Amino acid sequence: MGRLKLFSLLFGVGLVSALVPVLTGGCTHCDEFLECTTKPGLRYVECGNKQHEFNDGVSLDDEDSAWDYCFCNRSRLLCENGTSLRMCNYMTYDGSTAAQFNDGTYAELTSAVATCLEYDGCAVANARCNFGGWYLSCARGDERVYISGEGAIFKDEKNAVDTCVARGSGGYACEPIIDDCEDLDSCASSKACSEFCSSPACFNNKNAAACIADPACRWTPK
Amino acid sequence: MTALRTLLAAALSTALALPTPALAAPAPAPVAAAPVDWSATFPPAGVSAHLGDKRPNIIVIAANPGSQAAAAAFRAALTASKKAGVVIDGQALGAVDSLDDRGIVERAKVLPVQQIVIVRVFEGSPGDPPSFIAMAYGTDGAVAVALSGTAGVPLPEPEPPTEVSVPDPVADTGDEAPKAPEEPAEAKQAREAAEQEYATKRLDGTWGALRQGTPGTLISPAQFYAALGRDDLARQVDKRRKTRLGVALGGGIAGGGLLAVGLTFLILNATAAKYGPDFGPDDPLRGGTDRVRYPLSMPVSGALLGVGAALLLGMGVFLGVYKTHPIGRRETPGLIDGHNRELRQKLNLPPEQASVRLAPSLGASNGLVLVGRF
Repeated sequence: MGRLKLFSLLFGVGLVSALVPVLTGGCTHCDEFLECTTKPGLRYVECGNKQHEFNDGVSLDDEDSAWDYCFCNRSRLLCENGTSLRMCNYMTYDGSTAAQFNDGTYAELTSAVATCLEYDGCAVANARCNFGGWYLSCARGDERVYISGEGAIFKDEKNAVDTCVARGSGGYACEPIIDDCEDLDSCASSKACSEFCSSPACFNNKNAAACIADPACRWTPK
Repeated sequence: MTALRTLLAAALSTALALPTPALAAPAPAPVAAAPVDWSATFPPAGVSAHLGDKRPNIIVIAANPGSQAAAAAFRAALTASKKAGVVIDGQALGAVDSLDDRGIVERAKVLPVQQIVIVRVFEGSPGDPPSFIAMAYGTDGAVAVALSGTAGVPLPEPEPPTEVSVPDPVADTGDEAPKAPEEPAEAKQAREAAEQEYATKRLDGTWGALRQGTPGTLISPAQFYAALGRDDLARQVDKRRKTRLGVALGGGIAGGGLLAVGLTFLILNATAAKYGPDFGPDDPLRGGTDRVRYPLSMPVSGALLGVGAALLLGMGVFLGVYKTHPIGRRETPGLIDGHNRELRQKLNLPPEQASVRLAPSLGASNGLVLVGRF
């Protein structure tokens, strides 16, 4: 009987010492994931009050840092007037966007970027992106430029699309994003429409790069 | 009948009260060879009344100087009674003056006899005739009959003999008791003191529950060995207890702690998928954590669990094998009996009667233990 009591005591001590860190650490229940916009395919989950987990392996303790990592790109866009801004896209969260200037002020993203780069206007494009990817399409007269979420400016749209698509072997397919090839400026610009300029045949694009380059298609997870 | 019983009881109590060395030692003073008619003292019917119809072979031994004539008369009376088989003297035993009754019986029981009669004669006061004591034993050492009387006074015609057991003292039957040799008050007091000391110091119990005294209080193994006078074993007990405590504490805390920690994190890790982050079935990156990060991973938790369990198991096996007692369970009764026997000898007390009893046994194997003393 005495031996049993001793074992129980020792086991209890061990158990309590093991459980204390867990118990004092609070509940580890996690919320549903959010689709991030800074990197295609990046997802964010908040567990308890201190754990902020990303599916690229990053784990952050601070909620603001986690929020920025998920929705605001780190590189800043240099403006014509010498200032700079940081682009934040919360479209997967609440549909909003924002630009954060040097002085800490905020403005609506598309107009702020257009002003910054002295373009007539900009629009968020994500039709050819997958997951939460996006880029800006800006116009000045007939001139068009495409700005990736990281702030890189491209003349060719497919290069901007390339930054907003998560690749992956298996589990992806090249799917049409338009019903009729006539919607394109030129059927010749699309491999899916070049043969028959009717319904896009995106399956002709055998890999992610070909699909990304096709304006009628999107590299889509199944 | 009552007179005879009283006589026998008084004689026996006198014999028992005498310290063994006293019995073993020669009589204080040899009886003078006064002309005593021992044949009148031992009528055939008086000395053979306890024999029954089996006609046992009997040896009659003169156990102290001056008792030869009485022993010869006793032998002659037995022969004349025709109730005994062969009646022999004690010549075959050699000198027995220095032996007590137990020693004489031990020596005589190898002979082809069924009863051993030991005769001792004691000188009376000046002018008084000598007295005698004749103890008849079976070959097993049990007293068959005890006779005593005075030279020249015939043993009364007895009624069927009374078996007397040892060591139960016969109660004093009252004022009507004849003037048999009574235990002196000092001797009685000394005997009672010895019995009390024996009752206090005697050992009893079993390996798992040792007791000392009467009725017996539980004592520790160290106290047990100290009572036996085995200080070496008592020191071993102390050393073994410390070793066991160290192993129990070390193994228990380390093993129990590791087991608990390992088990806890094993469970937490196993259930983490349920409560941990879920990045969806189409997680495109799959490079991140898919569960809550605990300080210990599943393999490490399992390893700790195994090590802890092994430590506890090893500790249990060690404690099961490495007992506090340095001696085995079967040696304990022998040690207890030896101690009690030596204690009685030291206190000049007669050996204990055979006894059989059941005692509870607690320890590695619980149950009842049959304890016997023969």
